Amino acid sequence: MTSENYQAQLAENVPQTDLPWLADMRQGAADRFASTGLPDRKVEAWRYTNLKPIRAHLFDLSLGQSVNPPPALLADSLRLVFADGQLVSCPDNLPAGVRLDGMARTLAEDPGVLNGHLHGIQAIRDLPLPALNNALSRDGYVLILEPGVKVAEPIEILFLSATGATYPRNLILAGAGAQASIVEHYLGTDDCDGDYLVNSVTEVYAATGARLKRYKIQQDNPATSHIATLAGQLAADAVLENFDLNLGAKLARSEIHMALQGKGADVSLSGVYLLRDKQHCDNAILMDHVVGGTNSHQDYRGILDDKAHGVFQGKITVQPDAQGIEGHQLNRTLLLSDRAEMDSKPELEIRADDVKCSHGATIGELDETGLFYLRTRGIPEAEARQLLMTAFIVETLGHIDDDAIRGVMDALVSDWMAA
Amino acid sequence: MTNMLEIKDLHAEVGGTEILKGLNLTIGEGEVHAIMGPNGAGKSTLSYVLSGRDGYEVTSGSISYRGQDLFELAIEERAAAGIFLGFQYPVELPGVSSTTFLKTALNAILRQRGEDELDAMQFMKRLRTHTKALNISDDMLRRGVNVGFSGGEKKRNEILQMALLEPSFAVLDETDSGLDIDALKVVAEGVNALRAPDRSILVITHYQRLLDYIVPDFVHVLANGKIARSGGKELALELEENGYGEYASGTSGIEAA
Repeated sequence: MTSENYQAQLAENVPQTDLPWLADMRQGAADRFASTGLPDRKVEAWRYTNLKPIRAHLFDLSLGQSVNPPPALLADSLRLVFADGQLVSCPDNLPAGVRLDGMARTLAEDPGVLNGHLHGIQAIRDLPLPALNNALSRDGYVLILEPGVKVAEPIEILFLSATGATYPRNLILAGAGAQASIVEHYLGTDDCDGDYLVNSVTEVYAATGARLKRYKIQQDNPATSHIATLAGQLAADAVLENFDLNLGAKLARSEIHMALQGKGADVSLSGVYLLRDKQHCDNAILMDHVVGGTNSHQDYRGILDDKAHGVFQGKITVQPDAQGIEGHQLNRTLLLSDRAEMDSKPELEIRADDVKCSHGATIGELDETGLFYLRTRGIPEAEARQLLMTAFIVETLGHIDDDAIRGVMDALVSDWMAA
Repeated sequence: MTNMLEIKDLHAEVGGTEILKGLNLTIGEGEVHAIMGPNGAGKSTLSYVLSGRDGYEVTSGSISYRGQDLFELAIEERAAAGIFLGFQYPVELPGVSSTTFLKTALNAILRQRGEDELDAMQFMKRLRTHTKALNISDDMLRRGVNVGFSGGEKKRNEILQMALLEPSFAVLDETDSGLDIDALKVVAEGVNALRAPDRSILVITHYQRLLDYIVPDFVHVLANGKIARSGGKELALELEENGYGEYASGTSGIEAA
């Protein structure tokens, strides 16, 4: 598609607004996307992932379907449900100091709280897919925590999709010392084997001492494309733990940009990807240690069967004079089939001298000797394989310290293995 | 009475090389047999053929276990039928906790035998009856299977599995290797506690030392893929004195795995 074609499609589909700042922002994003189009594989960040399958769906903006959402994953959660990108249900009673609502409604009722934050993170502003999201997004969730607010209940956001292209746009603003756990669950409807596209963006601003835990579960339908960008800015002593469970979609890309901007900021990114058939999953991470005295950890592990293709690109950047840094990165993949493929590209870019950074990547097969040992103890082969697969990712799952959420993840993982 | 095990004219290859070359062996119920022999004689090959490991190809001969054709059974079915292999080098399984492993194994065997599985409490109770005698700590049970275990701990862990799974026929492959005398005594006591009229044990060893503590009813010398000689427990002492020199001729010189 040419730039002119994109211009025409965008002009037709960018939502109208009376807010000048919002109109400017959307138009700016639309122009940026039109000028570049989708990145191709000549762009280093997209070297292993071909976006061709999503091109035909970019402007297939359908309205929300009436669907019956499945039961919540977690008991007593504060739950929002989106169907094909539009908010369909929202909790009535919220704890004091918590704003949890749809993006569209917040823009309509109280847009001032978003100005300056929405699409505010520099690292992703010029990237084509977040720009396209910014131009076309209709809805998403907004979570604003007043300073010092600690939300006891988990916050659960369901994005249920059946058709079309959706552009969820999410924003988390955590005031100083605020705490919350958020589960973003992307799910395809049962009866749909069709092709849809999700291109979501979640921006996170963690003020001094805020502590956030975010869990993303990607269970989109097998024929679909799921593109997700997470961008975070952390002030001093802010802590973010993010866990990414990737199970669904045919083409999945999870891109994460983290900027550790205050001393004592700490980011832990972990994830598990379980792929079979011809699934493709690309985890791309940019960890930017802007100032000294900041820590980061990355631990991604996956299991690939059949002709699945996994990608891990993780980069740790330490800016000049950002001393006293710890940055660690680990990627391990188990291949169950000769035809599965993993590309793992760890990168360090260090421009300071007092740093402790490490990275490691392994790609291996299931331990046949271990399998034999288990079977000599009476454990049937399928169960023995499952034990070894679970053992391979159990440390990564161990980063989840919430028992209820861990239970949900364990059940999803064991369903995948038993399938 | 049916014998526990009857091996007849067994030939087996590893990677195209014949290691077992017409082995015959009969083990009756409740008997303890020892197989001794030089390195490369085929001792470990025999244990792997008995357990059904891939890559150990039987080219001719038969093994009957309690009257049943052993080769018809998959690895896990042999375990469920009561065969246990104590490994020379117990395998480390990082990420699989020892407790989970033991419970999964016991319940898998009970299930295949059509018996009720144990719940967590019943299992822990049964486990405790064995761990104390074998001096196995709670810390070992929490760790990954054999991960970070000393040589002695690994072998005690093998005996713990044997005690818990209550096999009818146990093969202990070089259970003495890498053990100091104190660890050897603990392991031997564990094995001796499991001697029973309806349980047979085959001890495979290079050295006579273990047989001071696990006293066999019969001793066989395995050399060049065959039983070269059989006798009572005194044969072990004779081997200790004279070595395997007289059996070494004609060996292929290939180390069997």
